[in-house]
Amino acid sequence: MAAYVQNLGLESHRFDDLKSVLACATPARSGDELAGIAASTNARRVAARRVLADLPLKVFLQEAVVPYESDEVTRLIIDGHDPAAFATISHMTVGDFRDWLLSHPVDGALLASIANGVTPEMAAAVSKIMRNQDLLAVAAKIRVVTAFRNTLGLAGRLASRLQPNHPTDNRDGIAGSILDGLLYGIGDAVIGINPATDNLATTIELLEMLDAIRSRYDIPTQSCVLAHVTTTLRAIERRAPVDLVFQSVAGTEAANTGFGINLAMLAEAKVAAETLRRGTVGDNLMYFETGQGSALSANAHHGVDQQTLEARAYGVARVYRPLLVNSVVGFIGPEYLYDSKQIIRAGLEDHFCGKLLGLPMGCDACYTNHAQADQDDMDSLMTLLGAAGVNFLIAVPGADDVMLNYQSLSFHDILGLRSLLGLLPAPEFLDWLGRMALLDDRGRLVAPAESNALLQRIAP
Amino acid sequence: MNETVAITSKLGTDQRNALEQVLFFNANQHRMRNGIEHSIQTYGVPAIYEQDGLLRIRVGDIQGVQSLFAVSSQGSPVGAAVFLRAAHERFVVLHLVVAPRDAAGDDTNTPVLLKLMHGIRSAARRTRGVDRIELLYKEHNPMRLHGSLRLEG
Repeated sequence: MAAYVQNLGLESHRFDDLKSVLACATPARSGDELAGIAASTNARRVAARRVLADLPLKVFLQEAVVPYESDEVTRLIIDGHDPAAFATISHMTVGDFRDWLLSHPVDGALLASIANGVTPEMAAAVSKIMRNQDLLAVAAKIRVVTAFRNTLGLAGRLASRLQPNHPTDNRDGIAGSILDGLLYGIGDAVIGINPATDNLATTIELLEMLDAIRSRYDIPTQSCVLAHVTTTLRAIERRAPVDLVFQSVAGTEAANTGFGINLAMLAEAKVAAETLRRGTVGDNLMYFETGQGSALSANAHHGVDQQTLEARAYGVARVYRPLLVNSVVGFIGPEYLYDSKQIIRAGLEDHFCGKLLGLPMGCDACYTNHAQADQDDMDSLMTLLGAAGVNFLIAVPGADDVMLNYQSLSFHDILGLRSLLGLLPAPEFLDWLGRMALLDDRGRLVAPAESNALLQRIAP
Repeated sequence: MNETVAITSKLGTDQRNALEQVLFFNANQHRMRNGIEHSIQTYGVPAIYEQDGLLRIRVGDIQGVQSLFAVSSQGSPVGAAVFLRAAHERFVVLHLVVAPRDAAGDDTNTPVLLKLMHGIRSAARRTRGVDRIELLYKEHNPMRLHGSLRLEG
């Protein structure tokens, strides 16, 4: 394992290994400082970035940041690497790769063609020498289109997850939130409930409720109860109406063990859900959530910085051809992303890395109540992500998730962003909004008439 | 966050005076007055006692109270967290304190606070069934450890 040295003025900076270079090159964040791996000074951070810029991309195929022998995520990344896709960029350094990504001739089609040749560590590395503007510019070139009961990720579209969580899984409360969201044109990415308690009976009840609502109104979207993958597997065995299989994933085997999963389990769940054949316009049916700091919070980070590990989580996700990948960027708390500056930066990094790796990236622009952030910061993040072409955003009633106890975006925020950037919902969902008389003659969302079918159905 | 601060559940009895200073005579106490009063009214008064050559913190007559200490490189406490598994799925942080420090404008307390929070989170993640942490000083707003995290033993 080689050491890396960079001289800056009269100072010489030594980095013992590749993961140390990556950690020190990362923009400052509390999680890496907590782990004791962050650059101790800004000068050292710059030195690490210089080292990184001159490193050949091939180095990332030769030096694993987490040992191959002891980590199935590393094995997945190395064994799944596509040399043919890598050929286009194999001669480049990380710095060359950055310049190439930003160049005009490199378009979405070319980026899609190299995606399987880019490892998560390469994606993380190049992001560390890119400013926010660079992350936006490259991500905006990439469209990742997926489909299940509608089509997500098309140019000019912004989808949203309707998140009608309730602290006691109260059916009336959840139904009220769903109705509220649908009237705002929310829910084309998924109508997804985080259950207050993870058990089979509740999961099946909620799945049946969601499916009944979707069927009754013929809504071209997918539903999901975000239970543990093993609970969802049992629900599938009981022939419950499972559209999507959800699971939180992380970038190391040990962190995934902390989530109670392994790669084989995810594969089994995907196959099981495919047998239900519930998709109408596509068969992408996995839904993953991730977040920087998840490995550190499980003490399973192997001395690797949290952003690189987040990219490795995307390396896990892409194997399963997911419909949705959501970075819950500020959810874990200020121990890992301290304030709005760190949350915004991380949200842009995650979106960039995910898209570069070929994933249908969405984001929950969010923060916990003890973080140094507020709704103005979430406005900034969602607008930047909208400009970068994010596939979907999360929205909850009033931007306040009363079950998970954190702050996200409101239904109205999504409407505002769509209006600001001229974005539309998924095409099938937009058609449905028209059929439900929720659009005016210019295609804008309007308040429903008292006679609207959605309101009539819930009238006493 | 460059200063070395370790998180431990063990603190020698020779640090009793220092711990009393941090816990009971903290110059920043007034900033969390409402939360401290609520904690004491709900759970009881904290007290330091000695057991097996180590310092412990009890709260009223409640069983199962746990403590974590942030300790400087000199071995003295610079912070403490007192928490309890109040329900099957929930840790409650009864007290969370950091020593006021003369740092010429540097925010040296925040890293200690974050390390203590990380320590509590790690303890919660190691405890089967716990999926949220409630900070009494933070107006009862519990934090979820993860959206749909299920802990395995």
